[in-house]
Amino acid sequence: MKRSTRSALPANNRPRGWIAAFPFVAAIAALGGVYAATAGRLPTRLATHFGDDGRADGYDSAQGFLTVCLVLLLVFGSAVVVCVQLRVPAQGGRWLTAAGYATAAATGYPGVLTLLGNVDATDASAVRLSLWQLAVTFAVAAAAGGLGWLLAGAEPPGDRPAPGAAPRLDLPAGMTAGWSRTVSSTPLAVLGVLTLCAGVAIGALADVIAGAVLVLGAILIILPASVRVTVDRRGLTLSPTLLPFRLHRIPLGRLAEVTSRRISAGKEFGGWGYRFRPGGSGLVLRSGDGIVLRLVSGREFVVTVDDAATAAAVLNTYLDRARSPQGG
Amino acid sequence: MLFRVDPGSSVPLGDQIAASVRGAIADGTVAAGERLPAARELAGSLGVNVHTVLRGYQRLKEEGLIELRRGRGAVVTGTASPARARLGETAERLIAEARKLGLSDEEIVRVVRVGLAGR
Repeated sequence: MKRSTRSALPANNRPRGWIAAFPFVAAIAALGGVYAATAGRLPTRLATHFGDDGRADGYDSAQGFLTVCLVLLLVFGSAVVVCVQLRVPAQGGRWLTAAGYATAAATGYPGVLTLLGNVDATDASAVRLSLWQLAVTFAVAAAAGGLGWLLAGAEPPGDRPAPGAAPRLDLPAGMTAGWSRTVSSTPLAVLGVLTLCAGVAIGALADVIAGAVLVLGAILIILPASVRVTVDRRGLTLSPTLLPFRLHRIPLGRLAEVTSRRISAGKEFGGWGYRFRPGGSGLVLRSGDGIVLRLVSGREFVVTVDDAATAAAVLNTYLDRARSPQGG
Repeated sequence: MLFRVDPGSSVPLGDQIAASVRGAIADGTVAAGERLPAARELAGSLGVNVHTVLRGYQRLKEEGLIELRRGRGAVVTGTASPARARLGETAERLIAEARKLGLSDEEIVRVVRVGLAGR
């Protein structure tokens, strides 16, 4: 369904970088314009922060206030534009653009309100900004986010990497093949062990429940940090390297086709570990060679592991056997 | 690492499993320090008896290619190199050739001993 709408759309040739940059430029222009128009009427000391009751409780010079706004907008703006241009994460450009619009609005709108509120004030402590303006800011940010979403348009097609070849193994009838290999992530293991130590220390010294939660978290990090990937006549199995039980099994019957290709942990999955993304999931312990299982359901499951082409060949060979009229 | 076994072959299944590991070490797919799958797992994978796998692993241990440790499973030894594994493969071929000629075990050992004495 998703695939068909995507391919039906013409290629999205919109200048996404410029679209992403626009709200930040607009917010800076709006702040600059308002300041230029009101500079003569602003007090030397501006009220820049307000309590729940709307009274001013923080002050700054106009230059200081504008500098903070400008730095915030430039930092957020360049981060969003760089990510959108580099397509990191690959399918996240639309969300990033929308978030950028909301951020720019949530910074620019209160900035302009603050400047306008200080116009003609003789005493900055008398300036008021009521709390409901916060709700208005949220509404403006949400509306801007929606606008960004619409302007960014659908994700451009073709940024999913092309599937690799679906190799076969030269396996005469009657012969059995099995493939097995381990893959580990040292950073994940280190993180897990540190979390475990922190959990034990906190559990012993401070709060037992907080410690137990940390220990549980540590186990969830450590278990998939080193995994044995087994591929055989039954399907694909993932199990912890050191413990004799299964983390995950995908039986042959759920597989449509298996390929291998290079997988980028950051670009495609936004990190390491058990990852989920629209249309797929996987165990991504590093970037590089990986098995890509296309399931009968249309979803994808990937496992990054060395020599993935051989693993894919074993599974495809058994799929062929299961489909041939003689059976496996 | 790829394991291939042919239940129809005259070569014992344990030796076929050992040959898979030897081949993987010989072509560099498996390096020193790498852990082989647990015997029970591999037996399930290939649909063979656990003892068959253990027999294959025992053979690799005797060739000095793997270490068997209680609780740690089978680990490829530091001295196992592609060349060392190929030597094992060469020995396999020598034995097969000699058997084809109808030589007894004693006679095969004598062939090797004569070769060594010449050095």
